[in-house]
Amino acid sequence: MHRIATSFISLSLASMLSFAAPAPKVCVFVPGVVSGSPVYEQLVAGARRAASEIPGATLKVVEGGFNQAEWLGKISSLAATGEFSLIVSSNPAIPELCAEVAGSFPEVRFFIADSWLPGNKSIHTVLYNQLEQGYLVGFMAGLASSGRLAGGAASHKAGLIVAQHYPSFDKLIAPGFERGLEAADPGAALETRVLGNWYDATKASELANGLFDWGAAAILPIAGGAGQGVVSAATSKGRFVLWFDDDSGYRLAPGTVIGCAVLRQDKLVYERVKALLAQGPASTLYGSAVVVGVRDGYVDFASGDPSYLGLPAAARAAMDGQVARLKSGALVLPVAGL
Amino acid sequence: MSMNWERARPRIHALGAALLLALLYALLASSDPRAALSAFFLGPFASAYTFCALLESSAPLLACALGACIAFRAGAFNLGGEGQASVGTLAAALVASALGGAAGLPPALVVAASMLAAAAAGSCLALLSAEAERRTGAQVMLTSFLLAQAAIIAVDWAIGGPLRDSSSNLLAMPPLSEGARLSLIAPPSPLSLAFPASLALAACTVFFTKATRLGSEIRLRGKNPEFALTIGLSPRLGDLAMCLSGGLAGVAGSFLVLGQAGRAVKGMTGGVGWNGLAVALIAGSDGLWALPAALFFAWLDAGSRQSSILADLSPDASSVLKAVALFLITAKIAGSGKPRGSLLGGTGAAT
Repeated sequence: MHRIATSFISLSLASMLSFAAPAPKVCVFVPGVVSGSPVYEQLVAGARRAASEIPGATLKVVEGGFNQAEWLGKISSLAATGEFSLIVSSNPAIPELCAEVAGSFPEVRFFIADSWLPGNKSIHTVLYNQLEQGYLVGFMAGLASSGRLAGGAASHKAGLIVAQHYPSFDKLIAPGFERGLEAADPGAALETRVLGNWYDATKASELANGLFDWGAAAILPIAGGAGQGVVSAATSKGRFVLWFDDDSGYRLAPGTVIGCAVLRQDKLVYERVKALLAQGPASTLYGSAVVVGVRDGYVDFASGDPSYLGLPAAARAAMDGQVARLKSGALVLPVAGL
Repeated sequence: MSMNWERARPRIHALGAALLLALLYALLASSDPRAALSAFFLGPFASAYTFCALLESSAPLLACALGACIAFRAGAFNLGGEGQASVGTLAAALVASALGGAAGLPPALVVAASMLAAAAAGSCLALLSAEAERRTGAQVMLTSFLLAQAAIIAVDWAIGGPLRDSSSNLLAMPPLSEGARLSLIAPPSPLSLAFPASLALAACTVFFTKATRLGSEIRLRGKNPEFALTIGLSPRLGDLAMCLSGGLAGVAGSFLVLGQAGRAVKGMTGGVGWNGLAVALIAGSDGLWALPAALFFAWLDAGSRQSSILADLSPDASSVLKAVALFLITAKIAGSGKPRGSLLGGTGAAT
């Protein structure tokens, strides 16, 4: 009897071991560096939290640096190790590289936030509705250009400074900003300047000064670290800046940065990575691309900071009203993809 | 093997010091030194993929180094390899894009034409410096560097601007068709025909510099330009050396575009020209030694990459290690009190 029981337990253990799925190993590929980039800090935090809640799951963070030419080789190397069942990243440029890698390493799965690539069975992408995100800061710029913030004369002018033209900016952010500006200050003029890189704060400051001299009441920089130059110029000229992706702008220059349209990337990455790890490589999420926005809780306007709370009540009420309309569905800015 | 033991010794010591530094770095910087060391030193050889990737990354490095070797042999300090490789990427991408879509053209012809265009572009840029020196006395070392910087800016502007693929979020030109790219030898690894092509270029360079009359004349010019002119050698030998040097750097650029990337991406040379220069210095301007030196640099890069993936070391470690190796070699040779030429391969005027 004892021998039979021992054999039964041994067999049970052996079968459990043989059928147990290997613990998932997740790699976060950061197309840049984590430090100093709130969006990538959120990416890592979300993935780390998800992995910590899956028994046995491990997480590795690899920084890819800023040279786009090296990203394909680095992602290929990650996949080729055979160590990782899921590679997580965030950047609109990443899906086309992952699609190439997935063709050679079909056993590896990818989840890429802030991007759009439907139809690849190895890749799940989620695109933020940046038409809404742009609309929110555009509306705030309109409040500034119509004189409802400073109390001075209305300039009816606003500016955009972008590091480079890219599809997300051209198709979503810029049109969204323009619509928001028009909604708050009908007929207001918008000028866009292209910086040419994501780091030159001095040149960004020069461009911003030019726009302020032209009459822009507020500027939205989409220029990475160079955005600091726009903040400096605005501070010295007594004008306003809008901020994108996170609320760190409020702390950069209180009183100058008057509005931040934020992404809840940590929330998105946490939820998706956890779901993908729980469902495994056969998850039906792979192959799909979805758009998420204000109504889903992944795009928002940061309205709790003292810099924002110090604005005139009427302006805040108008801004909060726009956010509420987007959340309720009364205002819909549909995005079908990129 | 023209590099004797006396000349090889400081280089071997420097490379050894770089490896020792890598060892210390792994021991001190990693929470798991054993895994870090294993990933750094053995990682590049752990799988066929990683080894093939190492060989592929050595190809453009070797081509640039060979170009630098020829220039050094002629006594010309071509510091423009990076820019010459950069214009090579653009020329290769433009020709491959134009011919890749043309019906009926065999892929080999498209690739060959793209590489020739890259070589021509690199040669033209280098030739400007040589011409400037011959006509105005402006030093090649200075003009090649300045022209290269201007070229890099122009190429980056073109790739990220008017030639950019507007449907892509990458700062890159449109992808090339399969027929316009170098064939892969061991898919899914990135190893392509670029590697055997670089070996063939090395063989040709060694043969040219050591076994041809023109090669001997170039070396003689490098040893003593005034004497070379006195005995009637062509004053255009320097032009030829720079032309070949720039051409090889241009071909390196084509390897980058026609290989794994399959398109021109902004900033894709990524220091290959400067690293090629370092490889040439380590190799003593000897094409034969450029191959192991290029493989050594590629191994440092691959080891850094593997140790950042499989352990917790920084992927930038290789840059520091390469700089240390180069610094030690330069310092050791400069400190030996030997003439300028010994740094570049024993071609000093006094030798």
